[in-house]
Order: sequence, then C-alpha cells, then structure tokens
Amino acid sequence: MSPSRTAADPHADPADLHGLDLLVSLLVHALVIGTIVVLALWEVHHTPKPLQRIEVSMITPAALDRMLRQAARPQAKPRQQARPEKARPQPSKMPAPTRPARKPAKAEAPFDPFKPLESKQDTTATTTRSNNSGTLANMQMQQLSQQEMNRYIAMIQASVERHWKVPVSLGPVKNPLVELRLNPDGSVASIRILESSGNAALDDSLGRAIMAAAPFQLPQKQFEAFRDNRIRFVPKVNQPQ
Amino acid sequence: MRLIPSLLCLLVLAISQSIPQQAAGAEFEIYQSSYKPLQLALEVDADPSLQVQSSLIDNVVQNDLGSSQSFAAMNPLSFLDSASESWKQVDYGDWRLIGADVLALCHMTVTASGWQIQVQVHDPFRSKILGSASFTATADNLRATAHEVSNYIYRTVLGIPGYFSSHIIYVRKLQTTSDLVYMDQDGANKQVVARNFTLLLSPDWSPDGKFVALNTYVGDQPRIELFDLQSGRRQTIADYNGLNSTPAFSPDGRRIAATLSYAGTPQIYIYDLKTQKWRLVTHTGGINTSPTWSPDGKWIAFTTNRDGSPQIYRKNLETGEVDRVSLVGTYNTSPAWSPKGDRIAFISLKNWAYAITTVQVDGSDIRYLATGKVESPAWSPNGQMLVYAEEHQGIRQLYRIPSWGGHPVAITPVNEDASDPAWSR
Repeated sequence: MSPSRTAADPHADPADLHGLDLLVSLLVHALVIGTIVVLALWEVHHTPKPLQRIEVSMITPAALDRMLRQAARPQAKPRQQARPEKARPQPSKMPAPTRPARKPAKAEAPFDPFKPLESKQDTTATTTRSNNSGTLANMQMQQLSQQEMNRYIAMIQASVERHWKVPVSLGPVKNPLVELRLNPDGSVASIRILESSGNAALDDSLGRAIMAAAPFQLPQKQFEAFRDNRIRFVPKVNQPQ
Repeated sequence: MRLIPSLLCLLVLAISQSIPQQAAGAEFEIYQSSYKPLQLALEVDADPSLQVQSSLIDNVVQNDLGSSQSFAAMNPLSFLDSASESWKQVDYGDWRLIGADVLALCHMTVTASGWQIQVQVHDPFRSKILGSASFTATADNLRATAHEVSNYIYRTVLGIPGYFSSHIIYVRKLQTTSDLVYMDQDGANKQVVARNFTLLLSPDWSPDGKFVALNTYVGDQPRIELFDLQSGRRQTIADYNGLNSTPAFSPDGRRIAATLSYAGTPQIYIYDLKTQKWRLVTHTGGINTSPTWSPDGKWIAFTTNRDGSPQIYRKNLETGEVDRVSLVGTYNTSPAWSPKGDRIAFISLKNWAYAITTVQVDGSDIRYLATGKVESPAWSPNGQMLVYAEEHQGIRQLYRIPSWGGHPVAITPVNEDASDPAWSR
C-alpha cells in the first residue's frame, strides 16, 4: 500500500496516517544527515589551499620603464598651491588601497586617464602613446586624492619645519626655493637650491633641515607623486606680523 | 540609444579637462615658526698633560656659543666618538645619530712659546667640513684665544662675525658713589675703571675701544668727559650750565653727539674732536635728548617730546629731514641704533610695563623682547644681542637677550646695582 497522504484516499485509516508521517519524517532526517555527511566528506576532500598573496600592481615594470622614458621632462607646470592646514594630527593610515586591474586595454585605445590600469600579470598591454608626457605622475596624482596628497605633504612640512633651525636675526633675504628629489624608500636622492635666499648660512640650513628630517613617509604605490618636489621656504622675517 | 556612449565620452572629457595637470612631484611651502639653536657638539683633543688648558678652552667656547642662544651645547656624555678618534677620522653618521647640527673639533698641542689650537668645523647632516683654522696661545692670552675660537666657529657656521672678544662697561652704584666697571662680554676679567664719582651715567665706547665718553657728576656738577682706558687720563669736553649728558660716539670716532641745555631747553649738539667745537643739531621747543648714530653716520635718532609725549625721532644730518620712528604708544625713550643699521631698539611703555622694543628704522615691524622695569638697551657689535638693565626691588642687573627673541640671561650678580651698559664695537 502506498504511504501517501493524498486526497485520492480520503477515507484512509487515521492510524495509518500516523505511520505515514513517521516514514516521511524518517526520510527527511535521512536526507538531512546524508547531506551533512556528504558535505563533510566534500570539505575533507577539498581542503582550502593556503592563502595566496596576490600582488596587484597598477603598471608592469616594463610599462613603467617605458612610460618614464616617454615622459622625459614635464613641460612648464602650473604652480600647484598645495598648502594644507599645518600638520593637523591625523591617525596614521596605510596608503590608499589600489584598485585591482580588470580587463586588458585594447592595444590602440587612445589615452584615457580613467581607464583601469594594466595588471602585472597582463603582459598584453603594450603601447602607450608617446604624446602622453608626464602621464605616469599625472595618473598617479589623480588616483591619489587631493586629501591624501595633502596629508603626506603636511607630514613632510611638519618634520622639515621641526628640524629647520634659523638661529640668528636675518637681514633682508628672499624666500629660497629647494628642489628635493626622493627615493621610493623616502630617503633623499638629491637636494638642490633652485633659488638662493641670498644668505649662504640660511641656504645651508635648508639642506641640514631636510637631511635631519629624512627619511619621509611616502605612499608606496603613488611614490611618483613625490619623486621631484619643490619646497619654498619662508623665513620669519618675510612673514607678515 | 547610440547617444549614450557619446554622452559618456563627453562627460569623461569634461572631467579630465577640469583636473589640473601636475608635474612629477609635490610643491609646497614651509614657514619658519620659531628661532631654534643649532645643536653643537664640541670636543677638545689634547694630551692629558694639557688638561687644565684644554678644559679652559672647552668651557669658554661652550659658554660663549651657548650664551649667544644661536647654539645649544650638547652633553658630552651623549657623544659616541672620543675627541682623539674624531680628530683622526670624523664619522658623520655617529654625530647625525645624536642630532649634532655642528661638530667643532679642537686639537691642542704644545709649542715652544705656548700652545697651538687647531679647529675644524663640521656639518654632520650635510657630511662636509665647513672650515678649519689654527690659533696660537700663550699663558697670558689663553682665554682671549678661546674667545677667538668661538668667533671662528660662530662665523663659519652662521656667516656673521662673532662678538665674543668684545667688552662691556657699566656703572656700578654703591651707597653714595658710582664706579665704572669694565669686563669681558662673558662677565670675566672685571676691573673698576673709575670710582667714587657722585654719579656716572650713559657711558659710550669709542669705535676703536680706547676711549669711553660718559656723563660724570663730581659734587653736583655734571660734565661730559673722555676716559682714556689705557693711560687713565680724563678730559672734560663739556661742563656748561645745566645738563651735559648722554654722549654718543659717531661710527667714525671723530664726533660725539650729546645733550646740552645751557641755551635753555635740552638740545642735541655734536662735538668735533678735531676742532673741539660744539654744533647745534636740534632746535625745537621741548626736550631733545639721548642721541644715537646710524652706522653710516648720516642719521641721528633721539628722544624728543615735541609732540607732547616722549617719542623717538631721527634726523638726517645732511638734508635735515626729520622722521618719527616710534609710532605706537605714549612713552618711548633711550633709542639705540643697531650696528647692522636695520633696526632701532628703545624702551617703550606697553600695557603699564616697560618693554625692550625694536623697530625697523621707518617704525614698522615692531617687536617686544623683554618687559619689566627695563632701561638703557645697547647692541652687541654684530647686532644679534642686546644688553640692558632691569630693576628688581631696587637693585638693577644687566641682562642679555638675542635680538630675535630668546630669553633674557643675567650677566651681573644679584647683589650689585648695575646699570647703563655699553658694548664695545
């Protein structure tokens, strides 16, 4: 006799119904237990692989090299007035997360600063057009938000200022301009006085301040934005009272 | 539907245009927030038999440079290299590690007539030697030689001459009499030049340091006298009726400006040491007093009450042009023109307290340095320090303060009433 509770058999014995219920319940239990066992066995067979470290870089080393060569020297740059509030204490964060690259760009695509960048694994990305001068820094600058930029600048400003020692009353001086080239690790590659203050001792104090403040904390991925910096020093005699 | 991609393209284009192009690096400004001393590591390398002499050099140089407040002498316990190691080979890294901005190395050896002191000045952060020099000393002038070493280090690092070989004279007031006291700028070698005067006021050095002009009172008779510091000879140049006060040597040493009142109100006159004649400079109603010369000798600044309250004015001796220097406040006296020529120091009444004040010669950029019962400021020869007297409970002490701020440091003892300082030029 079929143990089914259907309308086809409305006059079935109620006692028989109980027997059917039991059977159904047993079947369901068996199904659930079976599923659990199967899943457990499955898990055993598919032990997760150890965590793999996947590095996502924005640009291949080859492309980087190529772009650097193409970038040559940037043309006359508009003076960027990046002067954030002085060294607001901020919790030290890690550099801005990088976006993983997605699709390889088409080889002949025109330059678009917003397109996803090529990943390391992607070796199909080949040409970048030669008229994109200064592109590397530009792209990175745009990815590094202005706020983040200002935070790193504020840190450099604060540490150099702390080490900048002017120990005497200065006569009339100009505001010196210093070119500061940095290495990716934040150490100083070179310091050059582009515009002298007219006072040799004051000019000397600038290099001393930068060397004493180095190394600087820089965003690792967006280091390009801090490769070649220009700092205008303003001594107290030239500040409005 | 084909419109959408082209619209998207337009949007992207618009955004990319609006983002400013930037070069490969950041551009920003750094503002000096305060004056800070350079950390100075000083080491004197000498044979143990020269212990006494070398520690004298060490102490004097350290005290000189530290008292300028342009340098802060570091504790030798923090040094990683001994003097003899450093003299052979300087390891800049070791000095950078302890934060030494300047490393001064002295090497002392015995010569036939005394000692030789070789000096090297290094810049550890820029890994370079800034200069080296050699000095010879005898038992008589070891201390003076130490001051010269200080001058050398100061000049090599800061590019301006030091003042450590200069002297200060001041008036010491006793119960009923006054003495004129001469000392080195660091307070050593005190000597009484003149004693038992009723009163002595406002001494001033001749530029060559051989003479002092000052206002003496013998009995109740005021005179302007010249003291020859070498021979001790005295010469009266003014003993007219009324005031004969506040003499000031011109920068070329040929003339003395002073205040005389025999013609009525006190006015500024100039005495020519060659012709021995007085010439009237100011002739306004009211008081004109306490002249001070500009370093080029073309101007005289002085105190006058021609506007009703005491104020600082300056007068061009060639054109006769007169400008007001003190533009703020109702009481400004005792001007002193900086030897650099750029600023004038004076005493001003500010919020019910007196203040050592400096301004540019046109009266702009006013700076207050020290407040209290302060009086009679005088400049160091290089224009970096000011010496002045300040009264506490009836006793005046001499203090020094850097012209850029810093903190005042007393250079005379608390139990001596010292006033009217003058710094040799």
